[in-house]
Amino acid sequence: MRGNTTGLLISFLMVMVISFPVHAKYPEKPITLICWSSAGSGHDLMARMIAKIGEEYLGQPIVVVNKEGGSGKVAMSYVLSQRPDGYTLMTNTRSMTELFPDPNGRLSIDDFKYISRVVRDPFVMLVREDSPYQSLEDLVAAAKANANQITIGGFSIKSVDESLVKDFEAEAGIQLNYIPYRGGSEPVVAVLGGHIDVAIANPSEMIANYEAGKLRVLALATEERFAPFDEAPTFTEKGYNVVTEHWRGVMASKQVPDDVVTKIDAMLSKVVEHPEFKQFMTNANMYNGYLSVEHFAELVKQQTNMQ
Amino acid sequence: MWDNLVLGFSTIATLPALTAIVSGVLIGILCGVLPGLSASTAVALMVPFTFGMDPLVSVLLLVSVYLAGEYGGSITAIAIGTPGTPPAAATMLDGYELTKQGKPGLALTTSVVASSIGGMIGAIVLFAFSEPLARVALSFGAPEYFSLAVFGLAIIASLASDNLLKGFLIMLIGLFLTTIGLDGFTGEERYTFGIPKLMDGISFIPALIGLFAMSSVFYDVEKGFSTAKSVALSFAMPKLRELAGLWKVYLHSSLLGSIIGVLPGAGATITAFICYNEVKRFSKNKDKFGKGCLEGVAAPEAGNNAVVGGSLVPLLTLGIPGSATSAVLIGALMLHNIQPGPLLFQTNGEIVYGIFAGLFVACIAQLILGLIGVPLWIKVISAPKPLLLSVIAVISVVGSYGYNNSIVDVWVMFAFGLLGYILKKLDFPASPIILALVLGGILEENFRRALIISGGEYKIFITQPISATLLAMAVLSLLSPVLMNRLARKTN
Repeated sequence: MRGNTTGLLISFLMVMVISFPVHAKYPEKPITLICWSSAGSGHDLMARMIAKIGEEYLGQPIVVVNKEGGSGKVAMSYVLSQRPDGYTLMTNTRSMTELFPDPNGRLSIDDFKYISRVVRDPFVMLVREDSPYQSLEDLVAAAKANANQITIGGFSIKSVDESLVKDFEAEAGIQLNYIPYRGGSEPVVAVLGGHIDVAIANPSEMIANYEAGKLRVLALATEERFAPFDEAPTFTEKGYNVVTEHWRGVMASKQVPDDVVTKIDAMLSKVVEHPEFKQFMTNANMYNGYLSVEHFAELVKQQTNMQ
Repeated sequence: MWDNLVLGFSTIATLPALTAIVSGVLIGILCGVLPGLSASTAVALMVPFTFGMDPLVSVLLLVSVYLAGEYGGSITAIAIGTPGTPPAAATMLDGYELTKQGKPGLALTTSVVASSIGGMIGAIVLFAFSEPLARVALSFGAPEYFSLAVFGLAIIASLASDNLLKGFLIMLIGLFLTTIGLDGFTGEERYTFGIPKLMDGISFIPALIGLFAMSSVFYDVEKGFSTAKSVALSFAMPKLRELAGLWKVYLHSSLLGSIIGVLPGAGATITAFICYNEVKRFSKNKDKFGKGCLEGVAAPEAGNNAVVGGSLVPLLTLGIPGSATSAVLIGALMLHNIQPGPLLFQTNGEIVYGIFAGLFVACIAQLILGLIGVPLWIKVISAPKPLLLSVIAVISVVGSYGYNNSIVDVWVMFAFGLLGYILKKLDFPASPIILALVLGGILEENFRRALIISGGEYKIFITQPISATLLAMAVLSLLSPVLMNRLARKTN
């Protein structure tokens, strides 16, 4: 009887070993998700939410580690310095594509595999409720009469915010005075305080004051109108081809095997459908922007080449 | 108004809420004590733990960590002459002097009392004046922030009053260091030598740890341990009368702290230094400052804890962060589907008034836990010097690395340790560097932003009333010590 049991056990183990190829074991240890932004930021919260829900699907803990610096270059260099086994992933954003090509030649867009895009964050153009510019037409007319006089604030330079303003200037044939700020909500505060005329912002940065009736949205930089700003037109409706949005996703070193990438992509596709993640997106005023591995890489390449 | 207060206290009179407050205060104090974990980092680290909690309970936990973190930093500053959090660099000026004189109990007790009173006054200001103060927050634009930074730098005159030239020299070195990194307006790299980590500039906290903790390790090791065991530490506590006699300082600094706290981007460090400076300016015994006076401990501590209430004003009324820490709080609130902003008082009144009440209770918890802790901390610093120094060295390295998981930060810490050591040898003050590192970025950024807005017209700094007033105050505080000295010499 004892011999039988041992034989059974051995054959069972044999079957186990044979039927599982190496990568099929992934993940067999905790995964590190590098976040390039500071702890507590919107980006960091997304990373931690992915980690929390993703664990359920992968069956291994996902640990978020913040590596700030150089608008993401520090995190990217770190990820490339680790073994490309799929246990070191990182979150990325649209603004990172603006870093390519790297002037120092250390990082390239082809160094990474773009696993999935997770959320989208649209842009709105806003003024204070009592602003003399009650509509996009008012703003364009005033800007045509006074070139470089109207101040418009946005996040940082060489950013999606600034390129949105440049697109708008080119399309409308006007010149605005672009003022860069450090944080996304700073331009909104400057508009509220009457220090500048117009601001570019993501919904989460301005929704509270919008709902309180202190801000007016002049235009949306999306293809179609969206709630709760339905009353505001899109730039396209007004004849200006300005469509741009922010996004956040997950990427890894290009040398990570494809079957591992497929597993992570599958995990992320489930995470975005999880009720808790949906609630998170609603609360943070972000939108589901899931794109699978094939489409995401295409988008990143296209946006990088556009610059 | 009273109804709201009652509502606030009744919503937090539950076991989970009170547990959250007490444990938050405990976590906050411990994080504050550790150099490298500032109040904002401590709050950020706690956010993931609140995911599954009730919204009010999680906010109370985070606010308590924030409040106590601001206090905890002073313990390390007083005990071992290393600010546990950046604002405590101001507390250290007099606090560590007292420890060197063998009287850490006086400084530690004053610090916890002043912090708790400051926190309470901040909470009262938040409750009673949030609406008008919200307008103050909005009235600060680029020229105003520039002038505030100039005013902050003018404090140098009183920090280094015995040798103004040395103070200025050190401050300029500090201002130069803040130019390292990406230029925020053109995107050019400045003095980064191709190191990606330096693109965001020199990390403040590792610099702080190096400047104070590591430098003192170098210095004491060189001095040898034989002389190090010179002063016997006493467990003497300040008399109640002494503590009560500081009421003017508490009130003055707390009100100042609540108002500066309201300004987004100003923060607790500037507040602590401004409070120190202002209390010294109005004090009858100016000469005692820097040599271990209780006023010098009470002022920055009352101020930096009052900042907590102040920084919640723009957060709750406008939905904009008043400090790095409240930026983290906004994220946490949104996760719990609470949208901070003008409508919060209507949509989630119980949360707003719960926070007022919670801050109050947290101050009491902080006072009790803080007082219990005082003899404990004295025991810790009575440890043999070699042991203490090794522990400080280890914490310095771990704290700098842990700050952002970066080895570059550890090198930054060592570099500043060396700088601090040289300064100590040459008898230069180190605190002006801290002031410059905190204010340099605000100064440059808002100077340039104001000029872009005005189209290159420098008069924007004088035509704006708030900005003009701040500049005038800066000139005044720069000149007053010089004039006073002149006057004193003449009468003599």
